[in-house]
Amino acid sequence: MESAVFFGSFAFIGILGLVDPKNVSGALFNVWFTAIIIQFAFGLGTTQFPAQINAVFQRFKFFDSPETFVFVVVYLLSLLRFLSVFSFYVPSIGPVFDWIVNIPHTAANRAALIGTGVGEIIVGLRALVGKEPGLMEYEAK
Amino acid sequence: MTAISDLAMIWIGLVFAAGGFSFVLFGDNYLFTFGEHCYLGGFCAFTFFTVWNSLYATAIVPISSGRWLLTISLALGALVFTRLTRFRWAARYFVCILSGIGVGLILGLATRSEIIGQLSTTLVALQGISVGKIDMLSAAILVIGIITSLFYFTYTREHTGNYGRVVRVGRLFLMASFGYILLSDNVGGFDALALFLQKDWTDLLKGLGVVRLLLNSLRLLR
Amino acid sequence: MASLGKILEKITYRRLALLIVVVALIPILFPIGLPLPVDQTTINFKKEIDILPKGSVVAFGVQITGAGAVPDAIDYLTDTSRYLAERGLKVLYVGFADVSPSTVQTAIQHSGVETKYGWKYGEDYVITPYLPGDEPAIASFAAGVQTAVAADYFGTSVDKLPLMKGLKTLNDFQLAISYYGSYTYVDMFARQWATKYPSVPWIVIGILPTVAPYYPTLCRGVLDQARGMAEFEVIAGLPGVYAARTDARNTVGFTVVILLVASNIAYYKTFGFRKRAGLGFERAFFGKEEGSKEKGDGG
Repeated sequence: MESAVFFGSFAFIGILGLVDPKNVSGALFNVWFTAIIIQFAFGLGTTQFPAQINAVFQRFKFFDSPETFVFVVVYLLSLLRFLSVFSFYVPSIGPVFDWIVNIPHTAANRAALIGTGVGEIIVGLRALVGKEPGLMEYEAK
Repeated sequence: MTAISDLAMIWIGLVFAAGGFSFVLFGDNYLFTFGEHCYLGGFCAFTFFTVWNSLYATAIVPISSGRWLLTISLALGALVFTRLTRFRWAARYFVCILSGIGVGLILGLATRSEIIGQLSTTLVALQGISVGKIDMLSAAILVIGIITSLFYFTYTREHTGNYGRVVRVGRLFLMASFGYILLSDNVGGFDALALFLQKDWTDLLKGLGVVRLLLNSLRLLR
Repeated sequence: MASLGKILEKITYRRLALLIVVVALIPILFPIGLPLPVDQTTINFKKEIDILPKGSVVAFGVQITGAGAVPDAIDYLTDTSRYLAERGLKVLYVGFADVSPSTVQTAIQHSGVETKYGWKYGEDYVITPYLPGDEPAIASFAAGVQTAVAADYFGTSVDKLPLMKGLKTLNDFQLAISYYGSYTYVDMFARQWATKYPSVPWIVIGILPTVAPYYPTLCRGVLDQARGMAEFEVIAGLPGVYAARTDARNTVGFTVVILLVASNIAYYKTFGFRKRAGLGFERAFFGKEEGSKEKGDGG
C-alpha cells in the first residue's frame, strides 16, 4: 500500500513537471509541489520544537554537575535575552548575554575551529599521500 | 472557478500540513504515513528535475556553446554509475578527483581562516585591553577558554590527573557554548512552529471564507 | 512540594505539545504588540546595505536545509528582497540547495518587487539553478561566475542576461549575502567568499552562534533568524510579518522558563538537593569515581 502511494506520488509530480511548459519553474507544478511536498515537510518540521522542549522539561537539571549547571544557566540566560519583553524591561541582560557570546562561547567556538582546521589539514595531507585508512577502505569495496 | 481551485489547494495543503504535524499529538497514524510516502515519492521526482536542470545549465549549455573540455568532466562524473556494473573500479577515479578537489580547496584556506584567522582575531581582541574595549578579566577568560577547550580535543592522551582537570575547565566552556547553540536551535524550531500556526490558521480562515462565499452564492441561486 | 511533582508528572509529551501550541496560538490570533529592542548585529546588517550606491550588484547565496525550511526561507527572502529592491540594488541569487531556486522565485512573487519597484528579470535580478557540490560550488562560483553558471534557472544562456555582463568573479560584486540553514555552511562561505575575497563585504542571514567567531572581522552584519528579521522589519520599515511571532515567542519562552524552574524545584525536592547536587560537584572537584552508584543515579 505504501509503495503504491510512493509510486503514485512520484508519477503525479513527474507528470506535472513534464506537462508544465516551464518545467519545475512553472506555476502549475509549483502550486501542487507546495501543497503536497512543502506543506507536509513544513508540518513535520514543526514537530522538533515540542520534542526539544520536552527534553528541556524532562532532562535539564541545574545542579547535577558543574557542566550541567553552566549548560542550563547559559541556556536560561540566552532564553531570557531572546524574550524581547524581558530584555526591554531588564536591559542589563543585554550586556550579560553579549559577554557570554563574546567570551566563553567565542572561546569554545574558536578552539573548535582551530581544532577542526588542524584536523582538516592532517586528514588532507594523509589523503594526499594515500595514508588515510577511511578513504582507502571505502575505495577498496 | 479560480476561487474553487484556490480553495482546493488551500485544503489540500492544510491536510498535508496537519498530517505532518499529527505525529506530535497522535504518533504514527494513517494520515502521517500517507503524507510521508507522498512526500518521499514527490520529492524523488522533483530531484530528477533538479538534477536535469542543473546538468543542463552547468554542462549541456556550455558544451553546446563551444566548451568541449567539459565533456571530460561529464564523462568522469558518469563514471560513478559504473559502481552498479562489474566495472566498479572505474568509480574510484571520480571519487579520487572529488577528494583531491576538496583537499585542495580546504588545505590553504583552513590555515588562513580557521587557524591564523582565529588566532589573529583573538590577538586583536586582546589588544583592545589598552583602549578599554575589553577588560583584563574577560581577556584572560577568553585565552584560558581557547586553550583549555583545545586540550579537550586531543585524543592521544588520557584525560586524567592534572591534565584531566584542565580538560574539565575546557569542558565548562564547551557546555556554555552548547547551551547557547541549543537555545538558538530551539528558537529556530519555535519560529517554524509559529510560522506554521500563523500561516495555516490564515489559510484555514481563507478556506473557510471561500466556503462561506460558496454557500452564500448557492443560497442566492435558490 | 510533592503536589508540584505530581502536577508536573501529569504533563506528558502530548499535553506539553498541546500546551505549547495553545500558548503560541493566542498571541498570533490576538497580537499583543510587545516591545522589541534592536540588536547591533541587525543594525550593522542594514548599514552594509544602506551604504551601497544605487545600481550596485549583490551576490545572494541561498542554502536551504530541506523542504521543511522552505516556508521560513520564503519569508526571509521576501523581506530582504523587498529592501534590496527599495534601495535600488541588483541581485544575483545563487542556489546552493536543490529547493533554493524555486524558493527564491516564490519569494520574489510574494514580495511584489516587480510591480512596486519595477524590478525586471535579467536586468535587476537573476536566479541561478542549483549548483551542486557544496564547498566546491561556492568556490567555483566565486572564482568564475560565468563558467560556474552558463544558464539561469529558466534555461536562458547568461549571455542574454544584461545583469550578468561584467560579472567575472566575486570581486565584481559590491556585497555578498549568505542565507544558510545548515550549521557547517557558514564555514564554507567564510573560507571561500570572505577569506578569499576580503574586499567584498560579507553579511549573513543565519544562526548567530555559528557565525560568532567570524563577527565582526570577516562578517560585518548578521540577521539572527526570526528575531533578527523582526528587528530588521522594525528598522527597515517593512510590513511586520514577524511581529506576531515575536509576541508568541515571548509567551512560549516564559512558559518554558516556568516549566524548567518548576521541574528542577520538584526534582530536587523529591530526590534531595544535597545528595544530587553534592554528588555531581564532588565528582567534579574531588575526583570521586565515576563507577560508584548512588540511589537515584542514572536518571
